[in-house]
Amino acid sequence: MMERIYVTPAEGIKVKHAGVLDLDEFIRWLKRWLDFNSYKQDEDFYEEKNTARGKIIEFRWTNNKKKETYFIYIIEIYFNFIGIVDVEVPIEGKKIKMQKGEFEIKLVSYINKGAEAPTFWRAIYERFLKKENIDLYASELYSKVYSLQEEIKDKFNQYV
Amino acid sequence: MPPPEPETIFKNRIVQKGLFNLKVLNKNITEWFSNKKYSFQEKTNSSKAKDRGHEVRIDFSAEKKVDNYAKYIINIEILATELEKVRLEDKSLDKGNVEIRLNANLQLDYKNRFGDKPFHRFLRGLYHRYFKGEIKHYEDQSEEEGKDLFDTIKESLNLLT
Repeated sequence: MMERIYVTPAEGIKVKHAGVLDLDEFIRWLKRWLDFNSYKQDEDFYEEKNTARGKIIEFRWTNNKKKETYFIYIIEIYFNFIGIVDVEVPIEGKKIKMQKGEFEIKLVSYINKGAEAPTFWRAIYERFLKKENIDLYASELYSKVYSLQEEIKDKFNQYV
Repeated sequence: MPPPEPETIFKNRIVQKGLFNLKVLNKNITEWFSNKKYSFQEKTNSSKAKDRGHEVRIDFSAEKKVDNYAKYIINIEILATELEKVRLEDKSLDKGNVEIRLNANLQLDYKNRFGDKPFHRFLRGLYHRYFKGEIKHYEDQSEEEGKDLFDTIKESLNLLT
């Protein structure tokens, strides 16, 4: 069984925004970010409901990047959007279609350890060869996820 | 089996109404964590535009492994309401209400080496009694770091005491 080394809390880190957002542009940007950082994306589920107070949209991406044979970086992204309605926002004299509502993104990130190695060899490998690398990888993934959180805050135009 | 629950060593709360700079506050908190070698997360960053200004909530969680037995954990919750940007002498500031809660915790045996069975808990208790001086040192250090961070927060808000 694969072991996980979490670099975020297991319950994840969240960015929430209530206001206006260009959702299509945001999703395009996020896909580009993942591509640029060499993450392979999988959409695990997608659910959309129409309610009297706008759409509820929930979906999850599991993004993985093989660091080397025994280590895979994982960034799970949970999207939870509530009360989403289309609005037109005037920008530089043009009316741009955007979305208004509550947007929540949760990031859960960890290293999947020992992807293809039997337990005994994995233990030897980790103890004698890769101890330093594990710490290095955890630190690298932590920095990457933290920078993604900062960029999402920018895109959401968060107050702080 | 989970390790023993962290014990709260120090907690405090600040409420301020008026002018402050949330960005500076945020920066000073993260710098403090980095300087003190804590690994930290901004667990929540929430921003809502309301009728009476913005409402912002930021939760930090940070921890530092002191050794193989003890870990310091600091949690900070910031809730700012009725926020609006104002300019004062060419500086961008925030006007509104802010409430900050900080708690500094000590988690002993975070690797759960003693285990969870009653006998193991008894052994852990015995260990803590025998090494009372070391445990006290962890508690004092955790309290000191909590207070130091709390002072940094107060300085960031330009509070007097």
